[in-house]
Amino acid sequence: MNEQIIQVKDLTFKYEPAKNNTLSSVSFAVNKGEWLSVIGNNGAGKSTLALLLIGLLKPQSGSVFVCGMPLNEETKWTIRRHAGIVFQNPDNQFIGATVQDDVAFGMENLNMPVEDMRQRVTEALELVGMLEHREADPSRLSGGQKQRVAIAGVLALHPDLLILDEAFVMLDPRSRRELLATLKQLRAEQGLTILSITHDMNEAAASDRILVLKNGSVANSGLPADIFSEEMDVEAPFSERLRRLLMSKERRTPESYLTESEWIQWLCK
Amino acid sequence: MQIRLNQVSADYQLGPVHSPRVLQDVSLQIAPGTFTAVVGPTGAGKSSLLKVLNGLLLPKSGWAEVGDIKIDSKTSKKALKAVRKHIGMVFQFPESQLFAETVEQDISFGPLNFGASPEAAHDLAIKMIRQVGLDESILQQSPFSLSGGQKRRVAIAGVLAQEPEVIALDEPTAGLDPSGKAELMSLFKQWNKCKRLTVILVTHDMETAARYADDAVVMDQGKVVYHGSVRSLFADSEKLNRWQLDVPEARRFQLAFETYSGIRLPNVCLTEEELAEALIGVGRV
Ligand SMILES: Nc1ncnc2c1ncn2[C@@H]1O[C@H](COP(=O)(O)OP(=O)(O)OP(=O)(O)O)[C@@H](O)[C@H]1O
Ligand SMILES: Nc1ncnc2c1ncn2[C@@H]1O[C@H](COP(=O)(O)OP(=O)(O)OP(=O)(O)O)[C@@H](O)[C@H]1O
Ligand SMILES: [Mg+2]
Ligand SMILES: [Mg+2]
Repeated sequence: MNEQIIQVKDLTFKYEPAKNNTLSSVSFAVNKGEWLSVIGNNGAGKSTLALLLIGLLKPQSGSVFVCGMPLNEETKWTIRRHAGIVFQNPDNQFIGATVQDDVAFGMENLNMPVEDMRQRVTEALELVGMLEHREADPSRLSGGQKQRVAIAGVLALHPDLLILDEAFVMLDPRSRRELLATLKQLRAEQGLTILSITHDMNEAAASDRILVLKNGSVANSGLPADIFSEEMDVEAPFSERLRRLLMSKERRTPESYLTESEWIQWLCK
Repeated sequence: MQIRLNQVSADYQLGPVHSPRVLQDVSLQIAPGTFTAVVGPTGAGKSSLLKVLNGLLLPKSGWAEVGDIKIDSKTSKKALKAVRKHIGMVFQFPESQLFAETVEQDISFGPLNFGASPEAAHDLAIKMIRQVGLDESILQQSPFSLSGGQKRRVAIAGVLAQEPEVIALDEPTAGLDPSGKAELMSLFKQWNKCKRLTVILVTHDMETAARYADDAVVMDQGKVVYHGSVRSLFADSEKLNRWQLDVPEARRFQLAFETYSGIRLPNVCLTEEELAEALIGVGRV
């Protein structure tokens, strides 16, 4: 039980020697099968953290364990087979000339039979609703379509750990909910672990735990309900915003954070 | 500045082949000083519509009009340059519009190009970077060494610095943190109210559409299927379902509450403020 898939200890990083730390002594762990949301202001260091987790940047000090291995020059390739990342801007990520080539590309060093590869490409494109665009040039898609292809590329790798850096921002709300439901299902079936960087507080509220980054440090971490009750300067999901607003109007309100359906029941008591 | 599209159809040329029609027979009129949200599913043609206004995608048939400049399949590069002076455009992916070595050069490019003195351009860059909530010190950095949300803010600052009459924003809040989103949307609203800036906002975020826009355009499969007030769009569940649009959260909460309690709130609530007042009105809180 509670096998830890990510362990980060005292991670410190700066982009340039003369500058301040971008991340200062960041420590946290993520359990297998957990869904962790990472939130924080623009420039807080979230994307930097994601790049450090898969060895695309090297920390000044501190250590990272992913999937039971210490992250270093030798292990980073193995780790990247188990941990997939969807970057903030999908344009940076396309290599193939067609959508299906692009999705297949990531699997090339997995040494698997071509048939299996095709199968996985089809499955992944199906999951994100892009199968009909398999022949299209990925650079000539709409914003939301690009983002889906980027997600398919990572899902095809069947990762144990999925790192999402604002991977849903260009999706319409329905597609966003559908994809989140798909990921939840993969988590239940295959024990997928998800670390999702997001500004969407509804998404964060639906996750298992939230990690708040402020100016490169971990400011708080806990259950969504606790984070939204404790961190009053963190923007909250709708039900909590309504509660805060009514409190400021000195009205009768629930005592602490409630989900929307709990709120409605409370209103009808 | 008046904007009109008259029976515009457009596609993208892919070598010898054409993509399927991405805009089909679109007619639309956007009055000066209005604030319009363009919504619709992925691939509906929203970004393509903005590209037509900015001359990046020319109509195959039909024409568009920006002020007194007409855009059709034969419009010259020079006329398109004039169009871009009036319409400021913030692209869906901000990376695609940042190009200079420093943030300051990026922001002052437009003003210098349109004849501002170096001093005036410098002062404007400082003013704009503050308006989008960034520190002045960022002006000397490379735009490529910024975080996603910082890039978005710089792209917006660069467009505002050109003081356009019309601003076309493609998912401007994607990547912004919640407070940045509120600040920047309020800024657009303020320019819309005080300077009569025409704002055209493409967004998937119904909260933003409901809170800031007055009018809504719904696109579906390359066609404009609705153009009217935001409020009547969000009051019409049947239409929203047909076009697969979400309702704003306040409205969703309202509908769930009304179903559960059997109590009807007197008006359609689009924001938490409106919902709070309505709940106070019926004596529930
Ligand atoms: N390549 C780089 N070189 C130098 N500084 C950088 C670089 N990338 C990011 N930074 C700086 O490091 C800090 C953290 O950036 P990071 O991209 O990790 O933020 P973030 O939390 O992901 O923000 P956002 O929500 O805007 O995406 C920012 O101040 C940014 O300007
Ligand atoms: N450069 C291009 N070349 C060829 N086809 C394109 C190009 N850009 C977009 N398309 C296609 O045109 C259609 C409309 O795309 P557009 O980018 O306008 O959609 P959108 O409504 O902005 O979607 P999203 O919400 O995902 O950004 C899509 O089917 C897309 O695949
Ligand atoms: Mg980031
Ligand atoms: Mg688009």
